[in-house]
Amino acid sequence: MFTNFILLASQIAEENIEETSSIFTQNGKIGVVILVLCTIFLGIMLVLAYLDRRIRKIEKSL
Amino acid sequence: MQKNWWKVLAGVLIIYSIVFGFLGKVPKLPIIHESIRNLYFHVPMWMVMMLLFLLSFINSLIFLNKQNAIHHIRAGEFAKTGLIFGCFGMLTGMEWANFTWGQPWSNDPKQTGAALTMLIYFAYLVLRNSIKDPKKSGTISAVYNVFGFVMMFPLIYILPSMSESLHPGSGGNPGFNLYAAEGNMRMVFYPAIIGWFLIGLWITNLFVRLKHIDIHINQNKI
Repeated sequence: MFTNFILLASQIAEENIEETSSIFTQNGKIGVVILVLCTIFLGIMLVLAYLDRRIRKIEKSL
Repeated sequence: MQKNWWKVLAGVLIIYSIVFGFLGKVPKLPIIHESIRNLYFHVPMWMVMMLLFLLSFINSLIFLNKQNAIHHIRAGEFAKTGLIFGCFGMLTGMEWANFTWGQPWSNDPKQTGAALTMLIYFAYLVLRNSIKDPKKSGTISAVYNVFGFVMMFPLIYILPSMSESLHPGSGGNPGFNLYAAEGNMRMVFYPAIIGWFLIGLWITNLFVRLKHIDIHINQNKI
């Protein structure tokens, strides 16, 4: 009885996790996650590009 | 622009890996569920770290052969960038472990091996800076770097495969190759590695150029 309860509980938990992830994809919230991550990454790229230009300027002045 | 195409390529590949990493199809697996998508972020960090340590190792070997200071500088900066990627690999791995294993640190042999590898390389950076004589510093740290790189393989691959490990592909667990083929995960995984590796090269390039400027300024002061 107890084992059945545990097995059922874990099954429900697994289904819930799958449901949550599919809901995220369906309601478009996953798009927000992607947007945030892409913005952070583009920010890093911009910082690197800025540093690259600054270093190039210093190299030229030396 | 012609010289910077690889930087643009790095950006495109990583954006691609982020978008398709979250939207692409993945196999449905028990316990890890959707967290398998972290494979696109966690594993490339370690791969890039190892590639950068390999470049550091090669530069140390060339330095020992030719005694040219440029290789000593490059070896150090590659190791530094490798450690940055190692830290991100550790963080993404701990977050994944928290979800699948219930705690961020479970003394898994691979986790411990990765932490030891990072400590070896932190010690390498300390060793480089602790010897004032540049020639002595170059030779001693290059020899240490060769040993450090060789030690990475038993610590990350050989020892975890011989003992009980929670990591896939270690201790008798099936590797991710099986799942990767099923859901076309390789189409995102390999571009992610290439993209992050190019970013690693870019960061190292900036570090090396900064070091040159620093040396130039210090020489002019003397």
